Amino acid sequence: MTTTTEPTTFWGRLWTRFNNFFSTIANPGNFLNYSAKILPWLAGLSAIGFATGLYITFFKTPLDEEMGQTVIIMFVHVPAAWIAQMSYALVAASSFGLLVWRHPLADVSAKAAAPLGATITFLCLVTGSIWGRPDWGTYWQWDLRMTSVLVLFLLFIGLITLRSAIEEETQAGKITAILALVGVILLPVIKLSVEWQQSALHQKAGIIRGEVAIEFLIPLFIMALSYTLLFFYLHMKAMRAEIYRRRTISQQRRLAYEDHQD
Amino acid sequence: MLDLGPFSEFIIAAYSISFVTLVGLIIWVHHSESHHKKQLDLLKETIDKQ
Amino acid sequence: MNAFLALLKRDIRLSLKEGGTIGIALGFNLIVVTILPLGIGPDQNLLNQIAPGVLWVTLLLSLLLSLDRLFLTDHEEGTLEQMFHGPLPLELVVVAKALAHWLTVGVPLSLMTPALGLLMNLSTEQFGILTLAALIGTPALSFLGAIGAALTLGLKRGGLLLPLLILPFFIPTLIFGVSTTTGYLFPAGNYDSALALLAAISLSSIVLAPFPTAWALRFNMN
Repeated sequence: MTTTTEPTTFWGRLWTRFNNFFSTIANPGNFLNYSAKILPWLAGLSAIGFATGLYITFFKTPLDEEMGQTVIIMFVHVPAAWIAQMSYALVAASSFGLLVWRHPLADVSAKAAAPLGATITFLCLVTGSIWGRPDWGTYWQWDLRMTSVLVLFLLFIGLITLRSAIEEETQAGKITAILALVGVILLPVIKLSVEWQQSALHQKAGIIRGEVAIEFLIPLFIMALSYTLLFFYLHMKAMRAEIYRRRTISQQRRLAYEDHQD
Repeated sequence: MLDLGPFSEFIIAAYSISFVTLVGLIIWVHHSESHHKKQLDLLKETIDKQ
Repeated sequence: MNAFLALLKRDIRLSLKEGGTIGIALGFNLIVVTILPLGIGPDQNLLNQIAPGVLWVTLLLSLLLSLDRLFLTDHEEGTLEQMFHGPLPLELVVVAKALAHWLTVGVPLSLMTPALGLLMNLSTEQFGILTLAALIGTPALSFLGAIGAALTLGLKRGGLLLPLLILPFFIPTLIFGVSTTTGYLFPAGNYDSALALLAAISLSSIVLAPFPTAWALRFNMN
């Protein structure tokens, strides 16, 4: 990644700086070091966040006259929806990083994010469905949000199964990365087509009607932040596990090779 | 404590499913990290002995 | 250009000679449309209402069945490897193959729509527009499907994995295809905009899909 001759233009230097910075943070050994320092902070902050969020939710939230008390399901549902989308964006960005910079850590990141993203997307679907029963009178409605989250879930399932179906790991990473990038291009098109269908079928608004009151925004924000911190905690842990796994495999290969040499 | 109202079972279901799943994920990543680290350490030990 | 046409001709000839691909796709489409009314019950009004949606869904599924063969035969025989070093860029090889797939599977399936429409009690005035929509929409399916075929090339159970990967990408075509006849998206009878959207999806798939397909083929072949 490091270029030996210093580029003369401003952007060239910036690019070199960026590449150097990138290769420093993307070095698996460095990653193990700094993630070990970041992880306790992520865990602590997210634990404090969840405690505060849950306290406010169950002890301080006033009754909403229009939506009833079920509105507090929003505090676990909406953050899950947000993480679901963010984790797909993370998989896509990592896939891009893998295909462009060919860096193995990008593949580790994409591989670690997929099952976490799939689980939280599933969580979003389940909580949305539970919320729908008292609110809409049905567990499932083919509205825009639920349909696109379901499609997102299917994309995650596709990524995970495709990766597990390919035996050779570097090839599996690259092939899955292509699927993730194709998905990121087609996802807006799918969403748009569903939106068109929805707007023509029923003009009913989705989940949140009108403005969300400020006393709901505060716990929502705290819960969303805690969810995000927790997600990055989980993602870093999963990445570390994957790095250890890959190191074990390469050591085993080396061992087998050396035995063969003897 | 908040009065959960007539739909309390839906609220409890949503919260418990969410947090059980999240705790499950935490346990899973912890388990898989320590498992793979142990494997690597074991392998390194055998290499060192040789 | 000559190399492109030669490849196109060869692929069409091969799939006509094999015969199996087209036969299976058409037969599958027929059998699904046959058993569906038996499961739902012979309510003529209900069948008429759901006909466009059912016909489009069975079209997607039948087309999927033949997609895994898109590169597989050439891959197994080693001819795909030769095409890598041939005069055509790999992207154009993909275009030729997907185009051949559309001509030999997509077009027959689309032309079959009126016959199946009869079974589903589809109003006769909708036969034309539904067939036209299928003809305009199916190129997108062949070209997007090519991505999936390339991604799963050489996998033991690639054929089973393919629908899972590719069906979500077929959703826009399905929605706009059905909307030409149901009129819920655009006022009934005014299907120009739905057809235009279908054409837009097909054209952009033809232009864009060969790149990730060729990319995946390169990764899967080395």
